[in-house]
Amino acid sequence: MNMKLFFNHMMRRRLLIWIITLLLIAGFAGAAGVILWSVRMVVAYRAEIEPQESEEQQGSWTALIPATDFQLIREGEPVTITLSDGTKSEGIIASVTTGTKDIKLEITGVEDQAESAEAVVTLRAKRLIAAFLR
Amino acid sequence: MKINSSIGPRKLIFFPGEKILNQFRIFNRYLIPYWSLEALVLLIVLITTILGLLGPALAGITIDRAFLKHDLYLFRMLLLLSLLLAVFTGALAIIRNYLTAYIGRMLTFDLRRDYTRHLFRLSFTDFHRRPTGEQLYRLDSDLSTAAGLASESIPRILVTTSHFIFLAGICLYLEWKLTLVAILITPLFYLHSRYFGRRQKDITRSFKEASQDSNTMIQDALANIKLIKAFGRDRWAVRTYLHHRLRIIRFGLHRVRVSITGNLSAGLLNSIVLLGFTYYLGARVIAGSLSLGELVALTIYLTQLFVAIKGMGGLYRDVMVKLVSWDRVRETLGLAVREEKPGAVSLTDLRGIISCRSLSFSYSPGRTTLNGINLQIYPGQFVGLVGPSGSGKTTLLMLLLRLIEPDRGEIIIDGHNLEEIRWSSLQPFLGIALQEAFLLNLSIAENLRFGRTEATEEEIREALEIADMTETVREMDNGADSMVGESGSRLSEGQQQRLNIARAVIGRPRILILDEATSAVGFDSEARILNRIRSRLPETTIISATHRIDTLKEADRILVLNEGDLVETGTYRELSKSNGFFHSLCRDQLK
Repeated sequence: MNMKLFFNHMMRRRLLIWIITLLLIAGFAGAAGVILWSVRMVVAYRAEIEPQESEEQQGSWTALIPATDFQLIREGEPVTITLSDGTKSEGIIASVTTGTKDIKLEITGVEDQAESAEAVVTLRAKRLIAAFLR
Repeated sequence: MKINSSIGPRKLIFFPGEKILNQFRIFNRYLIPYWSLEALVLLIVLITTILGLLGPALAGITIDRAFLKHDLYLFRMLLLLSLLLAVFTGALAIIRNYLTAYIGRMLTFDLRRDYTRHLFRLSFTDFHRRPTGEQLYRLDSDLSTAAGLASESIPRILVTTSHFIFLAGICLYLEWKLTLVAILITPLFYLHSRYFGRRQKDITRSFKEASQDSNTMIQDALANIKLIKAFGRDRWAVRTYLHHRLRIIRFGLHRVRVSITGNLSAGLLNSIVLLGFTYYLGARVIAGSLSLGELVALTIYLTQLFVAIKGMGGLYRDVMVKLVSWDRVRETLGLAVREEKPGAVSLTDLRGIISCRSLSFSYSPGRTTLNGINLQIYPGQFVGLVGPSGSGKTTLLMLLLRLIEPDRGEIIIDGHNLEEIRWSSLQPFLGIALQEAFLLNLSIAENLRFGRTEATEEEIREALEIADMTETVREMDNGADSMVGESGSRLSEGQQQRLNIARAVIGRPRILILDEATSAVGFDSEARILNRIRSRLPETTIISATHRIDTLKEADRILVLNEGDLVETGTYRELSKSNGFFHSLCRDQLK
């Protein structure tokens, strides 16, 4: 066997292996990044819910939840409101207003509630990556 | 003479394990050519180690975030992420294993290349200090195992250490008190590994010595099969060989026993510590200070941490065993090699004037084999060397061939001290035929070209003719392309010797050395060969050591040796008339 040819062949193969590995790393990092960034977990927040008073906004509620890292709340997604007496109501997030400390949610389609109340608001709100960064 | 400097001076030891680390430093020069691939291996090790640590965290998240919150969507996504992780780490593992195997094989090749070069540069005496079987065992088994220190142990050290560091980091982050306890227990595992590592090292040394003895014995027996059959000692050979194999089995089983005991006790120690930790964590879950997912993740991390600690212990034992082979390889690498003297002369032509001045040599102190030999040989002379067995004929030829070095005195060739001539420049002018033919398992032509690689068809034909082999080769099925068999087994002893002479005369050497080279050749054939050498190679200086004194009738000069002394010198006729030692030798031969 020609030793020079063998070594040249192996040198070319070294480069190929480096390229394959880097492509593989980039591919995985991309795919895993997409999952970790876009998949969100269900989070329960303790919040004060208030009925909207104007006529156009009848059946709408507002909830103020704390703003934290890796939070992403999308309009149109379902939300569960659990009152202190255990009553559960389903609603839809109509709008999200992000403040420096709090996020104001406008929730529609919730059963009528005469007064403001303490409740636990459960919604898909946190990116998966946050689970790995306690 | 120059000592190979691959093994540096002894250094002071500052911390435990430094001695082992120093052993690894020698591998630096073998690892450097593959640095880019090693960097890639390191990168892969780091990535896979970090990703491997995600597993327990994923399990914890799945329990706490998906199962307990009945989140099917998240559960699916976590499974997808796990699948992605498995595929990616699997692919990286394939690349890492391939690269490790590649680096390992190439590194073994490089080490074997240097070892073989060193081995072939050893002096003849040093080379023969160990039997061939032992040399083979060191070259094959010991060298592969020793190279494994760099090709297998170093990657394993990297993987295990990085795994341990990351795991310890995570565990400290999650539960620092418990992790601190785990780290404090680590020296216990170290002491355990040290004890069993040393025991395994001792047993491995005995195991290797037994294996090498067995190899030497069987190699010797197979090489001398004629002798064994002639003396009817085949049963003895089988029995001795099996005895050696049983010894190997005994040491092998001892090694297995120590290994099993070591692994079992390490496992038991591991289990006891882990059970204690599980009890503590379980109690915390029951108390409500730890979630179920956190318990699962922590238990897995701690188990992995102890597997890493146990792995480090196993690695220590493995390194200790491999160091046995490395020590044996180093023994050979530490032997002095024959180096050309600085400023050695390169010969472009050779006339063939040989002088020996006060040449003395002894194989062991107090027993002189050659004692102050003085002689002068001129170009084209046919010089005979005679004397009883042990008189120093072969030793004188070995000194001329620079296989051994004189204790005193010097050999001068064409005005240059033999030690100051570059051997590669002198060798093409020499033709050598020893009593034992040393034929390779190749064709006749290939065996002849071993003497001179660039020999033409015409030169091969001429060499065969001088050695009285033309007819013999013509009668063979494939002529000069016929295979000679192992050690020339397909040829008779006479044919082997004639082929040996043909190899020596090919390319018309200026100095031809014959050491009992025609002892198995018929008298007629021998006379024809000597006549042809003298007529075809008139400028060649011939030095022939022989017991067949009759063949030296035509010699220009005969040197008579007795007990290491040059006792007489002259032509056949002169010496026969002198009634001296030569005369008595001739008389003894006629009896």
